[in-house]
Amino acid sequence: MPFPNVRLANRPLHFLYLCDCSGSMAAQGKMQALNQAIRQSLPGMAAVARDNPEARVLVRAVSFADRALWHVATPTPVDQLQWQDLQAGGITAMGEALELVAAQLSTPPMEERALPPVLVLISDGQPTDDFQAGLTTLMRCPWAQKAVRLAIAMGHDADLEVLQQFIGNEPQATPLPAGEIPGASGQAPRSAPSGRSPRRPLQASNATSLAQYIQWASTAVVNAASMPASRTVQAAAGSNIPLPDLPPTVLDPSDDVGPLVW
Amino acid sequence: MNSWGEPIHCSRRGASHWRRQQPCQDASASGHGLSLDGLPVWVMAVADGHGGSRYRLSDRGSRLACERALALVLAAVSQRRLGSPDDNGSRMQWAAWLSRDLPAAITSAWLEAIAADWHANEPKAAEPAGAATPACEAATPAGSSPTAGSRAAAGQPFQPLLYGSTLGLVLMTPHWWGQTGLGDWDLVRIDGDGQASLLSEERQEIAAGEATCSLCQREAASLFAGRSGLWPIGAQAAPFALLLSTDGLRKSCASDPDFLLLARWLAGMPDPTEAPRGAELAASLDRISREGSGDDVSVAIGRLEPARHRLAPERAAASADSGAPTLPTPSAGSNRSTDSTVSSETPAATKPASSAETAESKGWTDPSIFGADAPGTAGPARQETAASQPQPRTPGPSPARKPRALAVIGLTLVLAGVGVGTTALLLPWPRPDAPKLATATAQQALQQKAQQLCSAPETISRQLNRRRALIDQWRQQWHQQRPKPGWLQAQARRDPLAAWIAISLDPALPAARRRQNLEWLGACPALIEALPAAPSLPAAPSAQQTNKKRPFRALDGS
Repeated sequence: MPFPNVRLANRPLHFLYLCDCSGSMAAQGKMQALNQAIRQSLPGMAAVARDNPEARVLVRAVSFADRALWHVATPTPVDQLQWQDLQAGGITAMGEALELVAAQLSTPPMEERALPPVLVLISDGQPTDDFQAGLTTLMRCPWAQKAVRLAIAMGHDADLEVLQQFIGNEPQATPLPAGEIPGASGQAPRSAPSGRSPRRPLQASNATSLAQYIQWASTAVVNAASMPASRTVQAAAGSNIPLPDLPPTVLDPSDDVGPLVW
Repeated sequence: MNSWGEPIHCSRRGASHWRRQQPCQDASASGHGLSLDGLPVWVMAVADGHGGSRYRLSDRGSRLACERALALVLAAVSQRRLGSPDDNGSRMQWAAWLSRDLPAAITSAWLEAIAADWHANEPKAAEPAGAATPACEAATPAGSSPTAGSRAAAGQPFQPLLYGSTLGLVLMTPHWWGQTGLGDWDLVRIDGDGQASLLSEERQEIAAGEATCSLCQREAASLFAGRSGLWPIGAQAAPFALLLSTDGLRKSCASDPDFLLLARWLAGMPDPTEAPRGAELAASLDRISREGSGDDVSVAIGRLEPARHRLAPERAAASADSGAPTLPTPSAGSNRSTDSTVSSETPAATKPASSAETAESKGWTDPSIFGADAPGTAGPARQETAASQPQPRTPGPSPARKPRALAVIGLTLVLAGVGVGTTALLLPWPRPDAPKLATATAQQALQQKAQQLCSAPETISRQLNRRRALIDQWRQQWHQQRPKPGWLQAQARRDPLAAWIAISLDPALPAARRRQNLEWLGACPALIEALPAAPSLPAAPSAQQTNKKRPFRALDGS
């Protein structure tokens, strides 16, 4: 009997940028640097996607300023994505952005067999709307709980506590496996984070480090998320996807990658 | 008594594992034994070793899990009685054993096995005092990344984490079957009408996302309970199949309906002769991984045969007579000296002989069952046919995998009015060396029509009503004139529903037998009930009663 007419499918990997487009992003070339970093990361992400045919990397982007809007609304194969520049202006509706994403992280429209999505929140400031309500809405979604959530703080004015809440609480009981980024519990951290860790907001102090973080998220993270190895429940506590280490230049504060401009 | 066919199992390295030069971390196994009261017992298992360098020995962990689990189950059943089919107390004891005692034994044996494997195969590793960490969570986090993994390979102490694996296991007896295990395996039941249902999966609340429960967890034994179950089988149960699979299979399908459809096909339901086996099964699993998740894929499939079909009943009888457990003899055509097989991978391209051996020797279809008791044959006719067993008209490849097609042939013969003697001369009754006759098209047409109708039962009566005149005509006509040989096959190709009607009207057989034939050929209950197979049909005089008008003989003038 011939092979049945069943739909075999590689697993979609949804990669979502949540980009702060508030007015402060216009200063010191941050908006330009962000657009440049994302655009430059796309070929690398496409290469990773080609190397992992079992995953179908689909990119979307949300911009938030006065309102949160889909900048790339349709899940777009990375090799077909033409990045249109974001424009800065307005306040920081971060909570609304989370709600916007939450609406897309239920099944459907998410596929049953999707890989844990990757959410990358990039901000240089503080939310001006009800961030907690947005986060609560987001974390009600099973897919958000499973997601790899990364946060990049552009400059030193970014609200690290808010970004940490987005990532999730860092487990205190067990040491962090090198290079692993947790899925979040959705709970607020018990204490302010200190030091550098991939489980904490990644601080980009200039265009170069921003580009490195974006590149890392769009290649190393995507690569790891494309073929997540099955693992034990304990090993996965607070960590859905085992990821390779961050580049040493990023993790090591003494190895600065450029002038501090933000 | 119910009888299970020999399970088949197969594990294949996933497409992404090939590309990344990683081993197959899945394993699968099946085995056979006898209970203390001499009843045949089959067991099958699949295991999925965790990925990533933290679990760098999980390919061995999964293989050892299958090996030890099978050994424990078969040893345990040989020391216990299954009891009678209606012995609820015994069943409750077995259920408790599946969910509590067996898991404790398996986890303990697995830990011993991996420790022994470590000492045997990792001689250069450092072994600090008390290094036999009993659970995953106690392990150091080193090795979470590829680079760390290579560091871990040298001088890493023994940790069960390294061997981490899931385990799913199904035990099949004539009176009941049960499952147990832990992790993200799936278990599907496929009934004779092709209906498939997901019986057991890992609950999301226990392990979300890509995480799963594992034998290397400290509380592993207690995690089996949530995946354990025992299911009684009726005395005359209809055939069904069980498909046990690692997560790579389900994750390769776009949706659960696709997964269930794929499970039905892999299990060969409703027609077990159409199930992919050997190299074909391996190639199918490769395709599934390649076009799907890329993960390793394992399946183990067991099938409850019709109650009247017993595989090697003499084994059980001999054992029951002696009152002591006996070792089963190896399957015909198999050169195995043991009663269980474990495979971490069934290579098709690299080891074609091995793969063919694995699957062909595990086929559940015993060709002799059709020769002994095929659907559609009346008792006397069957006996005479079996006694005469003519040589095939044309030599051909083994038809052992086509008993369903041969069943159609048998029905055709009956319906075509060929007398027993003529039957023996013209078309040999199915047996291992019988030729494959041209009924595949008719058979396929019948089954396609049945699937179409059974998927939309509300359309059945409407379609039958359109053939009401035909039904009435046949009811009258077949007492005076019978169809010619080949008529049913031609009818099946021309109008499959008319062929189903004809089968249901077969005046040579009692209603119960007609119903059996319909079931056997793949009609769902809705179709059977709708077909004009009611006992109120005008009864044709039987050959035994009149000895004048044997069914179908008169129709071709013979």
